[in-house]
Amino acid sequence: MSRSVSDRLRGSLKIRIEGPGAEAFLGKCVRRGVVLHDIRRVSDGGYTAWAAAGDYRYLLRAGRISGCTVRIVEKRGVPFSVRRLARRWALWAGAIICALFVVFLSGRIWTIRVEGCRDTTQTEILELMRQAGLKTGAKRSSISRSSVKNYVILNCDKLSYFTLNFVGTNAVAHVWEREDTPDKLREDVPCDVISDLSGVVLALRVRTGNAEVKVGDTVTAGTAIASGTVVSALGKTTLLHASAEAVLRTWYTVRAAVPGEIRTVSPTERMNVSQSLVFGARRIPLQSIENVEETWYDKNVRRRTLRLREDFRFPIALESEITHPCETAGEAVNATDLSAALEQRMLLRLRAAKPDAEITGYTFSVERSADGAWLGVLRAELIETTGISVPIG
Amino acid sequence: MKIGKNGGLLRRFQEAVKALEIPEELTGEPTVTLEGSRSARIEGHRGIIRYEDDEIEVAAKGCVIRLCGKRLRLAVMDRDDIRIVGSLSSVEYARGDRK
Repeated sequence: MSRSVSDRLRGSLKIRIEGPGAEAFLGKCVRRGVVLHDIRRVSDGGYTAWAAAGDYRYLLRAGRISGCTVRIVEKRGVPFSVRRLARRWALWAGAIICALFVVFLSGRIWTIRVEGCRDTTQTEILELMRQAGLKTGAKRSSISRSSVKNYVILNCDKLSYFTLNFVGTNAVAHVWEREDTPDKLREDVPCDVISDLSGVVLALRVRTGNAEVKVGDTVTAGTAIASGTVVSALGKTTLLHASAEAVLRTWYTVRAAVPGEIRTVSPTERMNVSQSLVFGARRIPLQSIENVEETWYDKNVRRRTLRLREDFRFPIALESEITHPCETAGEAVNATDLSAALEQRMLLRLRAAKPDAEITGYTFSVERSADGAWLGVLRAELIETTGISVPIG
Repeated sequence: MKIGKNGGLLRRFQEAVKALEIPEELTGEPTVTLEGSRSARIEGHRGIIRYEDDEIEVAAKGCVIRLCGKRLRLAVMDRDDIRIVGSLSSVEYARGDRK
């Protein structure tokens, strides 16, 4: 394998030797250090052999001396290929231009991705990054990651942390959003503890201060559970930092409404495919655009990019948009199915609204209103913990 | 120099080589290495005398090496080595140096 590779790189010739002194020719060649491969006899006094292209002069001289004719039958190798291609200047120019194009493209950012958004939007973060200098087509070496990071964090109050990494021609930004936490009072600030819920006290735990309610009492939002004002037997008033919590049985109601008539959407057999070339942030449609009004349709978008490695993708993608027009029809609602679906949906809403509460039981009912809509009501009994510190005065 | 003296010098040289266990390749003697009946390698050759499909004669120091067989061909030939491939049937040594 290595010999064939070196022969290809240096170039080799297949020669035909004819004459009465062919054997002497072979001896003369090898004595001069020429290596011959695959020597074959082709006719009386004639041979073919492979030799390195650089030994051609020795071969001619040896042929003259031994009285043989030496002719080149075949040429193989890089030097001959390059010579054939050397005249094709347009090919070389195109190869150089392509290489420069690839080098130019690979030094720029073509894809920007934002991850971790919940309350903030990707558009918001992308706009901030664009203001900081990071946009599609920007030169990667001219972008300072730390300055982009500082600009985004300082100009977006919803973020607690932001990272930016460059992976090839991709920029990947990850955001961590700020979570609101209640201000905690200092231990030396006198305060009372109040309830922020309405319900019946099931359990009470007072660590510091005087209890203002007992088990079984009904409390509303704002009712004091524990007081930080302590009056001693001698009448002396002391203000403390009260610490307490109460476990309440509470009730929560979820209401929802669904239209009386629903429309079903069923896809037709028709299918429209449109393709476009996406280059960075630009989209070039590959066919004429038809504006056909379709009220209902399903759309699938498929994007194909050429990727050499995991971290290197060419900034050109072929996007295919497959649209399936649909037909709609009105259908009466099945009460049983609607009831079951609505109950599940409302339970999910309840759990989202009260994530820390324990649901001990619930009732669910569905009734039809005068205008035909379906009204669902879910009443749940919960167990929750409450206790908010409020400074005295 | 007389032939007799040359012959005596040569014999003494050969005896000295044998006594000192000097490898024969270093003394210019031809070496034939056979790989089954498919391939033969000759080191220390002095050129091709005859090349046919069924017979190849190679000149060496003090002898002519004749290889017989079918579909014989020279795979590689350089200053020191010759590699012959094909279906070998016999290898003969004939005394007498061809220059």
